[in-house]
Formats: sequence, C-alpha cells, structure tokens
Amino acid sequence: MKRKNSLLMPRPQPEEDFFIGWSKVPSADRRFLLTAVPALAMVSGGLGWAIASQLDDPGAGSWQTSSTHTLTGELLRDPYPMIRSIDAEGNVMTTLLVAMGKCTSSLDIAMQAGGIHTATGVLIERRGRHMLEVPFDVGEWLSPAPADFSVPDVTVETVSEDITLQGMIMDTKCFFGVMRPGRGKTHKACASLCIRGGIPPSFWAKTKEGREVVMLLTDEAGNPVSDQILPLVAEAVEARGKVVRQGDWLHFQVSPKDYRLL
Amino acid sequence: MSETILLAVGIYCLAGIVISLLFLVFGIARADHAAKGAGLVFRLTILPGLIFLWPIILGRWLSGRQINQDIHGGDNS
Amino acid sequence: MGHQYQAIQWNRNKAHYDIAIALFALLYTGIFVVIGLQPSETGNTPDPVVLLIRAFGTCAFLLLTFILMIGPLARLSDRFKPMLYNRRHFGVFTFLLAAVHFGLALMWYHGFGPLNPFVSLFVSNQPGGTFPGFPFEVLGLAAFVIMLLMAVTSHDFWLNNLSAPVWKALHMLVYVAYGLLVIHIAAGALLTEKSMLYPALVLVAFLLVAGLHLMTGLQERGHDRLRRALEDKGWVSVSAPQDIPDKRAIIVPLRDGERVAVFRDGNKVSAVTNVCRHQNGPLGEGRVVDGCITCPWHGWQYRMEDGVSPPPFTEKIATYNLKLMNGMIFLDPVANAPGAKVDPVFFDLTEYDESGDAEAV
Repeated sequence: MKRKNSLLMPRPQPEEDFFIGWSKVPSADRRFLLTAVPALAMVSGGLGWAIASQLDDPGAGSWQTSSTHTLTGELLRDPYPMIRSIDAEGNVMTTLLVAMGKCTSSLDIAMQAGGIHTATGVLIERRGRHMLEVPFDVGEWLSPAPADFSVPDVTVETVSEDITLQGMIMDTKCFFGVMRPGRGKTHKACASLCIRGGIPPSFWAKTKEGREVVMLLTDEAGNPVSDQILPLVAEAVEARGKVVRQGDWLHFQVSPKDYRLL
Repeated sequence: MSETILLAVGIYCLAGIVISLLFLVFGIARADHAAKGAGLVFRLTILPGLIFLWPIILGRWLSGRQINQDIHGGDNS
Repeated sequence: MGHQYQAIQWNRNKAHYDIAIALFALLYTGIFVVIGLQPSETGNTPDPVVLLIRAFGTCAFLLLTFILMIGPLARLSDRFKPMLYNRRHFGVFTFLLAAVHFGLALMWYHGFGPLNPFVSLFVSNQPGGTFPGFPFEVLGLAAFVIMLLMAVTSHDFWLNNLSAPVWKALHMLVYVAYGLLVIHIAAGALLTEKSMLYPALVLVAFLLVAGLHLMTGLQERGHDRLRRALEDKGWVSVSAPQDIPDKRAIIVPLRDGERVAVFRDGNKVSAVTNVCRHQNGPLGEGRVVDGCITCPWHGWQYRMEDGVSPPPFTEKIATYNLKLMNGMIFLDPVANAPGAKVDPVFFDLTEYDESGDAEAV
C-alpha cells in the first residue's frame, strides 16, 4: 500500500533488495548509499576546489565603493569627459569621468567644460590609470574650486604617425576594476554594452618586450568612437593608426575602417 | 525588432497571469478531478506552468472536455 | 485519479534525498567561492558577482550531468534506483541554481546599460565573423527556457493534463538543453579561461552522459532481440512458466512497439502492460509485493488479476490474456481495456524441483 506524506515506514517487503520509494530502504541499497553519498559529497567539494583554483588571474584593478574620492582640476569634454588635476608629486594626472552603470553619454558637462571644478565620486583605478564614477546629476558631484587653482595646459605630441598594433578593444570602466575579470569572450557583451552607452573605449596591447600598454581609443580625427566598433570589442584585432600623447595619457587614433580581426 | 518581440512576450505572460488566476479559482476542479479541493499551495505550484502554457489549458477549459485521460484511452473515474 | 493532488509530496526518503543534493550544492558553491576569492599570485581578487555567476553556472551544469547519468545507471544496476526515485525534485532544484546563474548574469552583464537587458542579451555579443565569435549567451537562454518549461511542469497535474506522451516529449528536451549548454560553455567560458581542466571536464561530462546512454541502449536492444517470438494463431510465446522468476516478470516486446510484463506470483501467471500509469516506469522491472505488481520507480501498485490499484487508489492499466499450452505460456498481443479482469494462468509448481527441471513423470 502506498503511504502519502507519512514518515512511518512499513516493514521491508519479502524482496530484501527491491527499493520501494515509500518504504524502508532495503539493506543492500542502504549499504550502497552509505558509501555513495559521502563519496559524492567529497566529489562535490573536490570539484568546487579544482574548478575555482584553476580560474585565470582576474586582472588588476579596483573599484573602491566604500569611500569617495575628491579631485580638483580642469574639466574636459573631448574626446571623453575627464578631469585634469595635480597629483601628490606635482604632476598632471588625467582622470576619466563616467556615470554610474553602463551609461556615460548622459553625463552632461557641456556647461562646465573648460573650467576648474572639484569633483567627488567613487575611484576606479588600474595600474596608475584613474577613473571617477559619478552620479548622473551634475549638481551632485561637481562643486566650485578655489579661484586661484590652476592646471598647466595639456601638452600634445605625436608619438607615432602611422603604427600597426595587435591588441584588444576594452571598455575602460569594467577593465579598470569594476569587473574582474573584465576581458575575454564571457565579458564581450558587457564591454560592448558599456561602449554603446558611452564608456570610453581603450586599446590594450602588449609591446615586443611584453610590457602592457593601455591607450584611449578614438577615431582618426580624435573624436569619440562607440557604435562603429561594437562588433570588434573584446576580440583579438590588429589596428593601424596614429599614437598621440596628451598629457599623461596615450591616445590611439584609428579609423573604424582600419581594424582587422585576427 | 527586439523590442517588439519583448513586448509580445510580455503580453503573452500578462495574459497568462490573468487566465491562470481565473482558471485556478473557477475552472480547475471541473477540469481535473484530482484537483478538486486541492489546497492553495498546490495551486501556487502549478501557477508558473499555467502562465507559460495557458493556451493549452484555456483550450481544454473552454471546450469543456474532461482532461486527465488515461494514456491508453480509458478514463480515470 | 485515486487521490488528490498535493503541492509537493514528501516522505522520509525524499527528505533525505533533498537534503543530500542541497548538501552537495552547498559544498560545491561554498568551496568554490572561498577558493575563488583568494588573491592570485599577483594579488588580484575577482569581483564577487562574477565569481557567483560562475559558481552557480558550473554547479547547475555538473548537477544536470549527474541527473542525466541516473537514468542509464539505474538500468545497469538496481543500486541506483533510489537515486532515480526523486529525480523530479533534483531537476527542479538544478533549475533553481541555473536561474540564479541566469539572473545574476543578466543583471551584471546586461543590466544598468542603455538597452533593455533582454535586448542586450541578443544584440550585445555581435559575432566578430568567425565561429568562436558565436553568441554563446543566446544558447544559454535557449537551454534555460527548456529547463524552465520542464520545471514548471514537474507535477503530476501536468503529466495528466498535457497527456503523458506530450509531457514526456517536453521533458525529453532536456537532452537538447544539455547539448545547448555544452556549446554555451564551449563558446563562452572555454574560449576565455586558459586552464585545460575546463575543456577536459566538459568532455568527460559529455562522454559520461552519451556513453552511458549508448551502453544501456545497446543492452536493451540485446534483451529485445533475445525474444524469438514463436507464434500460435497470432499469440506470442513467452516462456515456460517456471522460467519466469518468482515475484518478477519477463518483458515481452510486441511488434507494434508496445511491451508487456508477464509476472509470476508462485503458481499464478498474469500479464499487464509494461508501462506504469504514473510516469511510464518499466513495470516489468518491478516485483510482486503483497500480491501487487510494484513499479520500481515510485512504488505504484496494481493487482495482478485486473491491473487495478489496490483501494483506496483507482488507477488502472491494461491487462493481457495468457494461455498455457504444451508447457509454454502464450500471450494474446491484443490488450484488454484497462482494469479488465483476467483469470491468471495456473500451473502445477510441484511438477518441478527447485532447479525448475521437470521431474520424471
């Protein structure tokens, strides 16, 4: 007879090794399960350990959400929102400005661009490259700076007029520390979405000596790129363009036609 | 195009919620003997399925046919 | 139906089972997260959300692999029947883990952006033009939809109201889901992570599932071919009655694909359809307990003489007519209506010694 929702188990039936789900477990099955269940538990734990320990290095970068960071400097809009300030050693430091989430295009600083301001936000930092994450509403993160504060003019010099590099297009926000890892096939969709939303793209390359180079990516005229390069994001590409140093950042100016998938 | 598809899916699910709730309150006991008098938790358990598969249940409910047929052709009274 | 639906049916065995799989999942994801959060050699730590996405995704895939192994394993050895018993709960649980993976990935990778996350899921991974650029996320979504439909219909209400063949066809889509998941992993994670452990694990998982199914498929075909059906006026020969193991059955495949279970209980022989009314379990692999045919999957029972479940249950299965001729049981391949009473065939046990050989008369 079947029992419904009963914890009272009838006595075992004549066939000692025939398992009936609603009845007491026969001894042959009990012995097997007493070995199998602990074995499966060990396999579960072992697999968890093995799979997690073999994951790639997530990459450098940090997203310091527990505190806010304040910078005073010149606000710029082109090619991407950024602020040029003075660091502790007295050098000019360029910090990219991004809004929360994956949308930066709504960051409206047209009115304030060109002036000296104080900006407060969450710091994203990767190997000396800085980014400040700020709220959408300008009034919430921008405030006037001391009147006598000044920043030296930006120096622009051409590093290479025509160079071909192999590397990858990354979105700066995730790559700099919000997502770790922030690169590869599994991150491609997110990177593409970020760049679509206006997050500045960067070009990540390795020199012959194995040194990592991260450059801000624009089109051949130095204007922002976004939709034109979406299919190429997070893929191994070869790009041909011009490298320009603007202050402490390198800019890679590539026409969207001059990319080649590897 | 994607937005249109999403809208269609949304409307389908919304219709599913409305029809499922109506079915759970009014139709289920007549349609399946074993569901007569079954508790609230049971009805909640089958609610997700009703939301996604509501056309099938609605069809049978409206046709008035007794569902829950024996697979070999007999009925289950 | 003989009894009222309940939301979730539990008994002690099912409770133990559910605790065990929850324990396996907890051990896996817990150790995964603890190990994964450790800084790398260069001092970098992953962000916790990505780690959780990977923990739940891999856990769900590994559990699904094991679920798919249970079916064939239970055919190869009776010791795995207990694992088969509560596979429904196992499946729904695995779906819930997959749902966490999907929800987190959708939110983290596709949320907070300029597009609706579901739109982004389809358009953000634009292929670079080569096969490795295949949008793996969409494959994961397709597998998830299949598993969602399976999870929401994991109740006897749906088994009865979709009709068993439709329900079964829907749940066989699990194999399609598994194939989609293998490609989802291959085109995503395997192209991102460098360790050879991952492709090796996916390959082993796939080979285990495919290999076990192939083994049991060949075994079943072998069993069927052994039945050389001698015919007498359309009746199919089964075997000598004493050769049917006591309290067990011989399964006879008919030409039309149906299978009949011919049971012996002491000196009586009866025949019923091999298909259990509950979830199509193989009755012929069950036993006779208290005079009732008992299904090996969930213990549903039917009286030998008429295929009706003992009171208070009222399920009925089809019975078949038998005759004993020249020491051989013959089966009429035309089924009777479910619940039709058929007198069992009696034979004289005392004619045979324990080895089943006829004594010299």
